[in-house]
Amino acid sequence: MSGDTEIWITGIGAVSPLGCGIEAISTSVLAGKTSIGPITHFDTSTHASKIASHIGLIPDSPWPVHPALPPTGKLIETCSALALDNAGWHPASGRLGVVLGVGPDWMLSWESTWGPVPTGTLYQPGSPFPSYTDLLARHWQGTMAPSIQLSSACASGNHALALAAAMLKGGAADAVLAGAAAVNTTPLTLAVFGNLRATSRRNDDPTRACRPFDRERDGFVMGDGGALFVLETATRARARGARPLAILAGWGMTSDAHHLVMPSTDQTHVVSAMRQALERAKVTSTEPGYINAHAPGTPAGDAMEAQAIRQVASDTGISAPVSSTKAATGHLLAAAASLELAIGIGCLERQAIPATLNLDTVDTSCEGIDHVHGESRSTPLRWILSNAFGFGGSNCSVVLRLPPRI
Amino acid sequence: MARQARGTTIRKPVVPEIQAREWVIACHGYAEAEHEAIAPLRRQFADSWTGPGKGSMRHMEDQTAVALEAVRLARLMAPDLAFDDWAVLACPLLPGRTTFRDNLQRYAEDGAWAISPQVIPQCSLHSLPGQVSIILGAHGPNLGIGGWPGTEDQVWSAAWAIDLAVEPQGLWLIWTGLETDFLPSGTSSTRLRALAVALSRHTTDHDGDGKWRLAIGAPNHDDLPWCPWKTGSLLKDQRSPWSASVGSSSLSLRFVAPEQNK
Repeated sequence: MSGDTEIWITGIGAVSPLGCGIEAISTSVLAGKTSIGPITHFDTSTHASKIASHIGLIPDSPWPVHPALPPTGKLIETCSALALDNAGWHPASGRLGVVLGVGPDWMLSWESTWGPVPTGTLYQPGSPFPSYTDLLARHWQGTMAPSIQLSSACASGNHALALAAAMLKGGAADAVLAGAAAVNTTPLTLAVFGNLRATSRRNDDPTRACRPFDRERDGFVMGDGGALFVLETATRARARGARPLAILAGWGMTSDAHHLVMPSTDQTHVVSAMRQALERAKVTSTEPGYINAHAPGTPAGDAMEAQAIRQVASDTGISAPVSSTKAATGHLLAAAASLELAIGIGCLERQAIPATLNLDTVDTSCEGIDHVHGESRSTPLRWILSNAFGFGGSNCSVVLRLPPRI
Repeated sequence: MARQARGTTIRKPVVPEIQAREWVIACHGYAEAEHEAIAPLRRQFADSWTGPGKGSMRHMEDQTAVALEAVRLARLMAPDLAFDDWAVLACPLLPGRTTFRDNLQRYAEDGAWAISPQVIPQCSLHSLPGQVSIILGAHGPNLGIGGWPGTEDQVWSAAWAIDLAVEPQGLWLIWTGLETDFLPSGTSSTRLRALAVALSRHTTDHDGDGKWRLAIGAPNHDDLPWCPWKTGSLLKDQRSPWSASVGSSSLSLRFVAPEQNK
């Protein structure tokens, strides 16, 4: 990419069962709290997994919201409004682009709205549920900047930020609202991942069920929430007096081209995504940082990632403490990377690394990296690498840097 | 709550120029199939696949099967082209509608155990590009784009942004949809269609001379909105240059004739 324009994150709207806003969420994560518990909002008697980090009541959006908008749509609206407010951005500030990461969202809309036998005009243009990018764009019509709705499964949030940065550097927008949010804990989604044997079945001990990198891990626990960010070039942000919360410094993206569901046993392409991000961000081996691992607590995924992190350290000399925050927040699927980036910004602000909860005994396949477990670690931090890997073999890593003090 | 510094002097920002991107049209393919022809097509791809995931390919979503056929036809135009570092961007239209209908009904009747574990892996927005990346051995990013009616042109904005973000060697762009929309509670008799276009990086002054190109750049306010299915016939005919509006009219897509190549 030509030019050397710095990309600033100037606003965040983050919502999770752990709280609203990065202050509340980061405080909880660094204190070792978890929002995982039994599912009570639908009958789980036939489900293998009966636990989740469910959001319950979604904070109201200040915007007029369609009364029949499904929960994911409401959450996206709320996170968007919070992010724009946090950035001090208003429609007259310029051309606002949107890059939104999504999962199987229209399926969730259908499930929550119509139930098993849909009627009406769900598929017709002009139906009550256009794309979420169209819904958002209605709030600031005529801004003439691109909107993109994308999915790379659990890597969607990171891809959204990387494309937003490109959109800014390419000159098509003055600011971009980017990220992902989702209410995943629905009957069908829980059933699918349960039947894939991807979710933990430790139903009698919910707070200790998600165990990234641990010898006793047996799958992830689903979660709700998300985060949207306002991104601007440093030049543009300075011009309107906006302050940076973090610098989006690097990104790397690859595909395994191996299997729709299973991670490849060959880490080449995961390593490549991480290295691209570190190189683009010009991270050096002497700078202190933190790796927020994707590590959802699945046997194959955690082992593969630990091996890739070891390989990156071996190849580049860049190593850093590692933890996964999914035992605190649950796995937000398409929105996971976005919430983890928001937590990462909280870590940069506080110069602290959260612990991987429930990591009692590091599995032999996950050894050889500096795991943060037990309690959070206060330490100087200049950068954070956040990994996200999704179905379809998508890998996307993002590096955030500590912003300049203004 | 706003973090904007209070009392600071607001300076007028410099509006950057929109960076243009241009690609050589390496190959393209169009496929369509009646709903009844999908199952044999799906079997054909699964049976001929020798890599991992052969079993899961038997569950691929209808639009994915037609997309793979469009990609297969496109590759006949450029049989020697390798796609190792290519990106795949695809816009299936509300994929999985019949599968979701069936599984929601099963859930209502028999509970969670009756649900297929393939529903989300095969029927999500990311499923089609993921499957294409596997078939092609493409290790650049693979992304589902849009997915709703009216979002088809988001593929162009995404192609432009991906090209700026990671400069892949090339891009596969794929659109799928149904000729006439239908509700899953009704009959499933409809025609599915797919357009696949492979765009390779323009690396030297001589690359692609004599070939048509596609370029994205600053908006041209005379442009009409872009339509994927019209593009299919224009690519096939290759008679005259054209341009269309994409990305909420923030970008212009241009079909550039060989004699205009410089």
